[in-house]
Amino acid sequence: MTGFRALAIGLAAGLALAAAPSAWAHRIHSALTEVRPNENTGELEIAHRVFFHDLEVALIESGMDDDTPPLGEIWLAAAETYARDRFDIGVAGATLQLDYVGAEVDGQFAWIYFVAPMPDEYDRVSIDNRLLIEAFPDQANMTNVICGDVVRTILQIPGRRGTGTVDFPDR
Amino acid sequence: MRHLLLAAMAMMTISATAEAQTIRQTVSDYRDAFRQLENEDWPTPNEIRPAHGAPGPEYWQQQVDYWIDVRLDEDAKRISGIAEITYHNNSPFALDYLWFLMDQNRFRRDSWDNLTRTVTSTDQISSGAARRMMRMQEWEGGFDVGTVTDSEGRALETRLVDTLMRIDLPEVLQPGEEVSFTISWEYNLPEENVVGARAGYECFEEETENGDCIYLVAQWFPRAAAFTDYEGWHNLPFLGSGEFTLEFGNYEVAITVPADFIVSATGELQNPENVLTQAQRDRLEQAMTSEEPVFVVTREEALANEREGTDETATWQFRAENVRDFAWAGSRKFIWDALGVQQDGEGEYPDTVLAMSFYPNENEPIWSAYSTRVIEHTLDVYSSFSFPYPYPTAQSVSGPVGGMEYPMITFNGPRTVRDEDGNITYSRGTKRFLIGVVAHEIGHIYFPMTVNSDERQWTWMDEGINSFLDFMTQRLWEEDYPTNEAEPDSIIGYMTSSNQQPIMTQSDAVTALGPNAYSKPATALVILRETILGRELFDEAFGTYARRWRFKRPTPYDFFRTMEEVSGHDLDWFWRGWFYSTEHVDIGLESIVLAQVDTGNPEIENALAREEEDALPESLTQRNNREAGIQTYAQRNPEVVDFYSLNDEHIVTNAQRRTYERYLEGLEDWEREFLESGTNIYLMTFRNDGGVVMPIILDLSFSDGTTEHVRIPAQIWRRNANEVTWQYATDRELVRLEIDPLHEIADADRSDNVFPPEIRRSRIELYRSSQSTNMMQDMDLTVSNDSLDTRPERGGDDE
Ligand SMILES: [Zn+2]
Repeated sequence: MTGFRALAIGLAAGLALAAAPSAWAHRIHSALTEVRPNENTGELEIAHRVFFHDLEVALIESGMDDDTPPLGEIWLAAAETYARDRFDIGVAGATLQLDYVGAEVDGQFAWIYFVAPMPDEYDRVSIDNRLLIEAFPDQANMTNVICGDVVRTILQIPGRRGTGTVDFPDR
Repeated sequence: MRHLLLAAMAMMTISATAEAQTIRQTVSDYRDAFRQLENEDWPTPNEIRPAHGAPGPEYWQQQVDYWIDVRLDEDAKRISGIAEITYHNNSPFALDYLWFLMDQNRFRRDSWDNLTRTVTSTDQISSGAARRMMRMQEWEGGFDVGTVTDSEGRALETRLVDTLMRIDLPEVLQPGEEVSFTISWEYNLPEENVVGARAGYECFEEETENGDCIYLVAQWFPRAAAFTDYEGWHNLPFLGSGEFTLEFGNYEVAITVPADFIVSATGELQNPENVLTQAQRDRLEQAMTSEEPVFVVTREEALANEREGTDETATWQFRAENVRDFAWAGSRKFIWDALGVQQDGEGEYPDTVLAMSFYPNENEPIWSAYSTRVIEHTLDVYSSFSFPYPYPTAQSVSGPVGGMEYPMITFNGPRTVRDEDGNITYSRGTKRFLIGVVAHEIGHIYFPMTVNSDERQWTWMDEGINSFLDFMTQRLWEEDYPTNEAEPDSIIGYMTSSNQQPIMTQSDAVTALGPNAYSKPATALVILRETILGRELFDEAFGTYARRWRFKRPTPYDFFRTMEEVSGHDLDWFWRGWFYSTEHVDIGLESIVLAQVDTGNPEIENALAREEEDALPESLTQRNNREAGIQTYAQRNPEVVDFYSLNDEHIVTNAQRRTYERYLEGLEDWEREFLESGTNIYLMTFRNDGGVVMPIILDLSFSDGTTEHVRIPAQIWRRNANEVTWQYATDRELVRLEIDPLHEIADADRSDNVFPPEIRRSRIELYRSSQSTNMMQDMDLTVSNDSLDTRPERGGDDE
């Protein structure tokens, strides 16, 4: 090593020193995202499935009023902003601009939906999934990138954050 | 063998599903899906752990009893204790030394956990991680061990290996003998919200709140490491993820705290007259027979208590029998409610269990509304699946730990919040979280606190089984309660992911502990109960497992074997698919062929054959010849045309008629009946695209409007785990088929589950169409008739 590189490390989530809940014996903080081409609509669909309660905690920590009714206009907008700011997808080297579709609650889960026009090339997909990690240090995010009958998973867990990439060489 | 029947079938393929999209993963060419797990992963049975899954005649486990005097220094946030420990060697082996768990050492700067922490990102650091890092620089965590002496007061040699401490015995401890020794120690309590310790303190600092703290105290004394028949001394270090492997014993614990504290602890309070007022003791008595929770310490009393303060101390004495651990909590902020839960203790366990909750006023009103009630409900549901609750108390304490379990006491995190106007609120999510987490943590008192599985090795044995039962508990809380974590469809995303690990993976090595050790095993048990075994057999087998292994230490193999033996189902294929593999479930319909019986009657069969031939397109060469006006030789020379030219090969000959008559004469009555019935035989070919073999569950619909639900056991895959053809005979005409209509097997790709194929819409498409029809309605919005831009306005009555 020839020199020491000073690294400017940003502090995530505006240093909201809200209690960072620890790992606990009840279910671990985890979320699942599916990235799936839809041939019927010609879109690439991105569906985030998070625990509703975890999302609620994170939305409130990020500034939403805690009495905001779920699925109302304000809540839906907050969920959009929240997920937009914490999920990046690049396809064949280009960052995709996502359109927000909406969100719904199903049992313990909240789903947040985005779409983008289906890119011409779909051989390399990069994902940085930072959902909920500022609220829960132990958050484990799993992104299933689907291409035809192949699923490739990008896992963003404690100790393994940052962008992950999958390739579909035969496509 | 008779010459009968399905000789030459009139075959007609009525479907081959179109390019079904399947999810491919670790699919190998040959799957021996039903190979037995004995001699593969399962250990050879012995007299300790026999092949039928019950504890054997030679079963043994150690016992470790504790007498402890512990003191909380509130100002220094420091615990000091002295313990007299009696180790009973019930094993057939002589022991030179004993290992103890020193779990607080995880918070030393040089601990393996601290040294092996990896960064979460190279360009960003979370505020929580930054705060922890700073705290770890300045704060001294870990045990300070004072003295370790034998009963004569002689110092014993010790050796520290990260979170383990070895105590060398002056004399070999022979089988059947016991040894007593004394340890003193101190340590600084971690601040739970900063370092994350499954315990610790939290102080309330906001203006409207008193600066008082809640202390949750766990992993607080040297606990004996497990010494077992299958592993010897357990020496996996505590790295924070894999929880604990412990021994049962009896505890007498004296806890000295500020005199105005309320203390909750594993066990039963032995000296209420010294620490409770007469009124509080009367209320506790009243709670034993009350129909609803009784406040032992009211809100007003707790608030007054916070304001007064004291320099005095008080000592709370607790006694707990046959527990694998001991934890406690104390605060002057605690409101305390209690309810006697009646049960049939079957002569072994209490008939009345005291369910109790402890919480600060800050977390009201949700705690008094739900916590103790959820304990009551949880005991009811869990006991129905296992055995009567075996201890006299079951407690839920509100504090900074999201959720953590110990014998008779649990720490739970849900809290109310205060909005800008100072109003107390709690969200729908918080209510559900409270119900879910209290059920889950109280449930842990059964698994693993009583059915003492090895948490550090196999998280799923306590978390998976417990998530299964807390799912049942939440399902029984109220109709349509929003819990779907253990519903089969919810696990598909994890099971199809490309870098999972099998459930049978050591706890600290699992990357996604939530789906791996909680949701997937819980879902597997739901499927085993609802789909594979049925409720009656499952409940009997599961209850037998619980009762066989209460207050003992089961391994996964004891669980697997018991479930098989009691239910009468060889389930190796199920364990292999769900617990040992990373394959998923995906059954697809390859084709349906309608086979009709060959009647042998030339009048019918020849005509059918002609029909089939006529249905084929004409030779293109012949058609082009004709259209070009080219004549054949026979057309030009009609004298060559004879009988054969005029009649095709399908004409019925007398020889055929005679053969048919002889054939009919040779048939049994039932054969003739079947021949004339016109039965349709549908040959259905199914593919196993996911790898895990599962039952094939079918809904069949017929043209006459009737339907049938068919459940084919998983053994259909025994000869070929990749593809099978199954036959179904009916005199009706099949018009629709659906595989797994009730979504009960976690089938990952449903696009090839239906005949005739239906267009499946994605979640997002479905969401969009539901939004276009009723979103505005749902949101109480209206559009005025004359608005040009159809801008929604809030309308109607305010609610
Ligand atoms: Zn748990």
